[in-house]
Amino acid sequence: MNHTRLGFLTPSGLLAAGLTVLVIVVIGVWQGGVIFNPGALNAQAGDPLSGATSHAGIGGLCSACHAPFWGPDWMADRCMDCHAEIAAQLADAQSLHNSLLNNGFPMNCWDCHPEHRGALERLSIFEPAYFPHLGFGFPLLGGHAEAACLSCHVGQDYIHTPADCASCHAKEDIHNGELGADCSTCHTPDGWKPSTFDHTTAIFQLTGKHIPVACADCHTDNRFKGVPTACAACHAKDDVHDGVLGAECSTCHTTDGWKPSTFDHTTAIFQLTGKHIPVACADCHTDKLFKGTPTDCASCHTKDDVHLGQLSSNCKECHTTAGWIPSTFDHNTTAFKLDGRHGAISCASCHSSKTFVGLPTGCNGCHANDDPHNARFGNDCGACHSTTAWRPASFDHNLSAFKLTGKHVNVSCESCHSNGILSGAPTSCGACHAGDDAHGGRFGSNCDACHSTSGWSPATFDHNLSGFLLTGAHAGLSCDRCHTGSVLSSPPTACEGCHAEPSYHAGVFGTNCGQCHNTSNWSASWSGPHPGGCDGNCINHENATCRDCHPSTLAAATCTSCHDSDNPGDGGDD
Amino acid sequence: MLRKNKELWLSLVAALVITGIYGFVALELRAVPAASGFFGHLLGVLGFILMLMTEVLYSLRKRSRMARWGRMADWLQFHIFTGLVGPYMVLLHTSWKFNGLAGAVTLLTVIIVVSGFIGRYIYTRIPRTMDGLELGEYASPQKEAALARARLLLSLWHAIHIPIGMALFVAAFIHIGAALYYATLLH
Repeated sequence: MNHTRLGFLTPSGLLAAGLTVLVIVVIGVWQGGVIFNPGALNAQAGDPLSGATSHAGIGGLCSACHAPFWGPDWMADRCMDCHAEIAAQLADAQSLHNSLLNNGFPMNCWDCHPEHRGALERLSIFEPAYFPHLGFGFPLLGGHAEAACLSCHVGQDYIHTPADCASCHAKEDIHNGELGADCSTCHTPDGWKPSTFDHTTAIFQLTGKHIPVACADCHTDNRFKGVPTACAACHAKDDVHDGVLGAECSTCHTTDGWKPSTFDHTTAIFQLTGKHIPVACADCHTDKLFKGTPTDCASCHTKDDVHLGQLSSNCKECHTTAGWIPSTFDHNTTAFKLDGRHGAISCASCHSSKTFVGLPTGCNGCHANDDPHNARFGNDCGACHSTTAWRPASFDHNLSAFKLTGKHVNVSCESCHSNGILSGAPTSCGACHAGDDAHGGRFGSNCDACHSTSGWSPATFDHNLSGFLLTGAHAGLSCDRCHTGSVLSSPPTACEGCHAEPSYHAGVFGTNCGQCHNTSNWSASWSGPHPGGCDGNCINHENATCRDCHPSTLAAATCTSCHDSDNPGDGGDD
Repeated sequence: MLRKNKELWLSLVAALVITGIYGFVALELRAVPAASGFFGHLLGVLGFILMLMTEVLYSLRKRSRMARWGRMADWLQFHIFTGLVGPYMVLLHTSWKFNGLAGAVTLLTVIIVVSGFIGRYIYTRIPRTMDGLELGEYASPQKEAALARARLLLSLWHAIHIPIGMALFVAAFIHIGAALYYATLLH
């Protein structure tokens, strides 16, 4: 294989190429240009022109239309050779074909009149999608592109078709000509709706809720001129005030909506304050009445009267518009002054069943159930208690059978009145003081025999009421000299219980101190005969004391204290 | 490694894309795109350029010993790709009318595509280097015989495929000339 040659330039290839050229040339010579014919020519018959009644009638003579491109004439020139009437049109500025060429569209004949499309195909195409209608200064846009040609080109007059809106659309003008003839001011060829009328150019500016309103809602009967601009013209039927407040809605309302309305109630007789402000208009202005609405409290609030008409119908004597509660009733203007805790409790504490008139003012009117004394002290709590508190109470205990004296005054009530029972507390000392008895009950339970309420000490015990009279030096002793220990014990009443016999006595006299001593004078005062067998007559020693003869002990006697010797015969009188 | 039959898949993708564009244009025009319209001409011109590239570039590479641009295997894939996509565009260019010389060109185009498709499989039966040169002798007599049959078949196919192709290109050029004369260059 020869690799230096291009592959397709084989002998058979070159032969085939030559044969192909030959076949085409032969057919061309034999049949003309028919093999280059892309389709049959139009065969619809018309007026005979240059010997042919249709393009098909020209036959296979391509050159009848197809001029060689190197030649002087164009295909259009070949068209004009036969179509002389079109040639005449092109000279007429008012003509269809002239208009096309003079509107910036250098069109060819075959742009609208394509050939070789088949014998029965239309020779003229004016499809809006293809036909350069814009060339006539009237582009086919929107609905115009869909319109049938004859709907505008009446009577097939394509030359004098008017371009203004009204010429075709006058009969469709729902505005009855009021808005002029130039529909395009508001409408586009895309459709009558939506129209783009700029309402800001109108006297009546559209704001708020007027904007989305359909045109026809205001422009009834397709009336667009002289539409009244007053509120009432459209909204009279909407007037919930039934015209009472006049026709100028905008005094209170805006186009943003009926509500909220901006009525300035301060211009009214009745000023809105406190809770009256947020109240819905209709709550007071029932039945849409806005004039002559009563201003007194009771007109609206009778149903709210928790006092059931017992008090004044002029609520504001006590209440303000800030709310029913707190009310500012001055209770002190009544017979029942509120002081102490009465001033702080809720009204309902006393006025429980919403009764405000004729309530009892006595304490037990409210406090009957609070009385822990079971009415023993009567109904006048105030005799002891104040409104400040139940306690402290100012009870005068001395009005009772049990006077409070001394230390009883300051003890708490509970010390005696245990368990909260005030009545019937025992009055005896022992009832309270049994546990306090330092005497172990030996003196009985009647403490006040010795003690006073001023204190356990000093006690006023009369020792002489006991079996042991306190005389002489005994009277000045403190109790505990005899009553040792914590208990007032019962010490012996015999002398030796306290007083041991002195050694001096040497056991001569025994323990009966009273033989010689008394409580006033511990010094012996013996005046009787000398004890011990001398029978008193033996010696006249009346003026001698015991210690004159018994200096150290009674067991031994000496005479020499007075006498010179112990010899009775000596000395005689000395 | 190249995916097997990659060129066929690429051709299918290209054909689908072109079909999509064709369908879109047809919907826009509400008509079959005319051969003489912008889109129709575009299809015809591009399709024919691809067909020319199919033959001329491939043959140039195949026959050239001086300039070895790319491997033959890749060039064969390119040949198949352009040989499928080009004719497909030309087919769409016809606007489904097969009158006269233009119809004959279309017919020849269809024939040459079918022929090329057959030839592609005969060609690949002969072992080659990546540059398309046949490999050396084979020891087995059976393999030698099979190879001889394949070579005979290939030369026979060449004898048919190349003349059809030459006839197609000559007819196509004359069609182009006629179109220029009768339609495009008219004024």
